[in-house]
Amino acid sequence: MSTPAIETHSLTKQYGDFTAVSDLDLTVEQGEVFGFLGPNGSGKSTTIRTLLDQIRPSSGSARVLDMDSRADSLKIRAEIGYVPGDLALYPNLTGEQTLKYFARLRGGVDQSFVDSLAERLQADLSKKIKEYSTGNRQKIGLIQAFMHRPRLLILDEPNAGLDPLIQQEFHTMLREVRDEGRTVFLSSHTLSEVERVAGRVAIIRHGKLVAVERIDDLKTKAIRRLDLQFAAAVPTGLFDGVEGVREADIDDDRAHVAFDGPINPILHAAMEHELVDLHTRDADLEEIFLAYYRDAEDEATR
Amino acid sequence: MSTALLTRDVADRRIPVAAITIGLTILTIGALGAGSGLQSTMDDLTENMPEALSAFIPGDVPGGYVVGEVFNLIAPLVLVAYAVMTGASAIAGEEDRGTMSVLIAQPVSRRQVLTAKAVGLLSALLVPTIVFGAAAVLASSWFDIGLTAANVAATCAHLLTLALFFGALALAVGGLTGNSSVAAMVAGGVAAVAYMSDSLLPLADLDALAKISPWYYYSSSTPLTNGLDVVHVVVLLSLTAIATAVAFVAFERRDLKG
Repeated sequence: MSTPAIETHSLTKQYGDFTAVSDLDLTVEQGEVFGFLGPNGSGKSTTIRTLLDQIRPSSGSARVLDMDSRADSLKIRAEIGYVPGDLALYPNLTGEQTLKYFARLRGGVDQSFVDSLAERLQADLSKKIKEYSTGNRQKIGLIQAFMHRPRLLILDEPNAGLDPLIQQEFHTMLREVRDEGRTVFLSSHTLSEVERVAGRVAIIRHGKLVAVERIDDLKTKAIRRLDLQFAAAVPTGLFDGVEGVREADIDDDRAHVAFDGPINPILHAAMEHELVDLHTRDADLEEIFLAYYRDAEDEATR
Repeated sequence: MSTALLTRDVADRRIPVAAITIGLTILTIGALGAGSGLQSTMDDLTENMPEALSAFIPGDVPGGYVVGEVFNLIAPLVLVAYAVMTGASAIAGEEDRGTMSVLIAQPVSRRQVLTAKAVGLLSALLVPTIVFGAAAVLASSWFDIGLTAANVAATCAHLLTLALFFGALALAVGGLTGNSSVAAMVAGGVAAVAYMSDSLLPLADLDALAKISPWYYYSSSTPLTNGLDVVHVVVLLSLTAIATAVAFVAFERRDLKG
């Protein structure tokens, strides 16, 4: 098995009394798209900037592509592409000048690849940065991160201001990177932004790692919803005590059931009456994601 | 050093540097031209001024009041002010604007970034100083003021090292704090207080105390008459070196903002 793309050991960053990142142990394998999730201010950016040696850990350490995040930072940065959370670029440079500048700092990149990235993201490189919208500025940031085909992409909330079509193309680009065996570390404050591309996610809250889960596992744990239409009114207690039912809302001949686990017991209960139609809704990952936040909060207050 | 970083820095500063250079040149030629006619009148005027007032109007140079005004007031104030702004914005400016984060994510070390910024500062001061000196020599010969090229060059060397020091001081505060406003205020404040103390302390017979002011090493030896004072220039260069070293050490060690 190859060495991890990112590995942190008890990584901690304190600002006075405030602990931004606390004792973080995280492993991101090479060749995966890894989602790094947490609410704003949970320590995502602090962790990322520590990996890039922009800020120094109070204790603990990190290895990126099997190199020490502090001692080998220059070598690491040659191998990664990064989009910061609050991307700021030089207002008086055009998109093209900006990319040329960063390309020179990298010792040159393949211009035809830059052009193809710009085309895929529909980025207009001729205007000055100060004339761009947030989304168009973000595209320059993304091209800048992708253009040297880095082994590891570290993207801090990269979706800012991208319209849905471009976001789709961006996700395709991430999958391509993964399929080439390269790695993506993708931070976000909402699960929906990463669930379509990430294989695994870590959830961080108040600087602490709450969980690391496969997206597929999250989906099986997710609360699902079932809408049922009966031929006639059914008793309001129909789903009482049925295994897996979290909540049942019955209104005359209609029922809405929220459940986790297997669907069979619910169907058994329902089929005691004449069923006209039945409809399942997509697993709401956001809900389970929020549940993680809440659980962690309960633990913290306990 | 990264030439890409330096090229970018120089390109960013080309407009203000050109503006300062052209402005200073026009002002110098104009002032020396006007001053050649005014000289005797001004000499009479400053003769009768109380010492406290004439302390701010150095007339003790070839060409009298107007030339003194250009060399001891206008040129140093302009260059020191620009040096402070440039030094303050060099590192801390990138952090304030939030561009440091994406810049330093490229494979360039903090030392490389700071070196490029420091060399950029030097070049941003070198250009206007040289052109200013050349303009003064030319204007002096046109209007027959009697400045020698060697002494003007010596004065420009003093001027450049003075401005460099305050630029390096701003760079150091920016390197320590990552805040360009603080850097500009501290370095600008020190420059202003030092200027006042250099002008006023000798009046209170505190000449020895005035030596703590960097301005003392710019003008007290009157390089426009006496040529280069090597010791004074070395003092300014040493102060510049110390401030620059502080900038490098501080910037290397701390967490970056934005």
